[in-house]
Amino acid sequence: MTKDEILKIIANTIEVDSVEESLQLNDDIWDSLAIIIFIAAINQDYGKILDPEEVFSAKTAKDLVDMSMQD
Amino acid sequence: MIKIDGVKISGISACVPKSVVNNEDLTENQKLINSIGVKQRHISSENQHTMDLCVFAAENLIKEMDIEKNSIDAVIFVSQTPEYQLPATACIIQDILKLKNNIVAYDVNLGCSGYTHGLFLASSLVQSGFNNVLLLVGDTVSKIVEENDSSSNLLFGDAGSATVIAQQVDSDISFVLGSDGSGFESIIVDNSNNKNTNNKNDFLTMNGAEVFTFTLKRIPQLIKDTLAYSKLNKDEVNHCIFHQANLFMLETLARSIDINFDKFLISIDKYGNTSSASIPVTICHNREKIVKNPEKVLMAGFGVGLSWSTAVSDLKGAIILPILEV
Repeated sequence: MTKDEILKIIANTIEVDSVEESLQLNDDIWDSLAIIIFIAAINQDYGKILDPEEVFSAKTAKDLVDMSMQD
Repeated sequence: MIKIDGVKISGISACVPKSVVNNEDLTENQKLINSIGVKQRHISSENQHTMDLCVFAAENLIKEMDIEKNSIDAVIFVSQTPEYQLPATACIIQDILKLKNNIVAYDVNLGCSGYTHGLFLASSLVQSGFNNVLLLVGDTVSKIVEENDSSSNLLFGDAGSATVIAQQVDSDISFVLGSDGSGFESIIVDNSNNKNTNNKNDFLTMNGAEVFTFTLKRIPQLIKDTLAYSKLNKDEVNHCIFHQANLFMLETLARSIDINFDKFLISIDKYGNTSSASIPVTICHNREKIVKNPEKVLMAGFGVGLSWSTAVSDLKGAIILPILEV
């Protein structure tokens, strides 16, 4: 799992070509559907199940990268 | 895990309201419609309740199976939208259907896992010596969904069902069942008549992400355990009939347990998530596929409670009726 792979998953989740770590996860792009799609993608690619509360609370793409790469 | 010998599912029917709501008329969010997989839903009228749908399904099934009403020794009503807090709706149904008085009649409060739990209870009664057991399972969740709740108001449809479980030598049904109440708040109507709460809410609230992760954590292992207990290879399963939670969840589960999605029977596109009735609705909606290949059917219910259960059964010889609209 690399930072770029997670950023690609985030980009796919919100249906854009690419995102930076600084991306702000506002309500317009980070809704309940996006949260579920992201959790499913991380589970499918890495077998890891993220805490939905943490994913919901994430403010930036970096937060998602950090929690995904955490052991 | 338990295998109940000497029982079979001998008939299944389902009933939905005539009134259809198209989700495209309610939202322009095509991504959401595609993800949950619900194009339309059947919604009950103001005076049409779960009991009514189940009674229609039962009357239809009793007639088509030509069952003697005196041979029905129990009626079990599984629902989260009963007629009253008390008495049990099953008792009212005994009278409406003119079933005998020396009958066992009770309600079970379960939703998504309700059908497979109900099959377990009915099969247990049959194994204990009962003749036909009438299992009525359904919900009218549309009545407890808040109009502006974006997580629920496109998802749920209303339906009722009836199933007859009977004695049959050389037939069995295998079950795996469980509950985890630590997640009880994930799907809840926080309106208790018996408990003081500051957050009384007459409507359903659902934490979709919590329910999704519960499913990811629990259901793949549940399916592995079920297949191992039933001595079945996943390739031998003919049909996967899972609770129709939402299409994205079903697709994710299929990938996770590595079963071809072609084996998953679907009704959510036309009927929505019909809560406890979703498995019998899916069976009746796909009756032609099942009749062609009725063996080794894997059913799985999971959700509110949180709770889960699976049943592995053959539907060979079962009378499966088309969905009735009333």
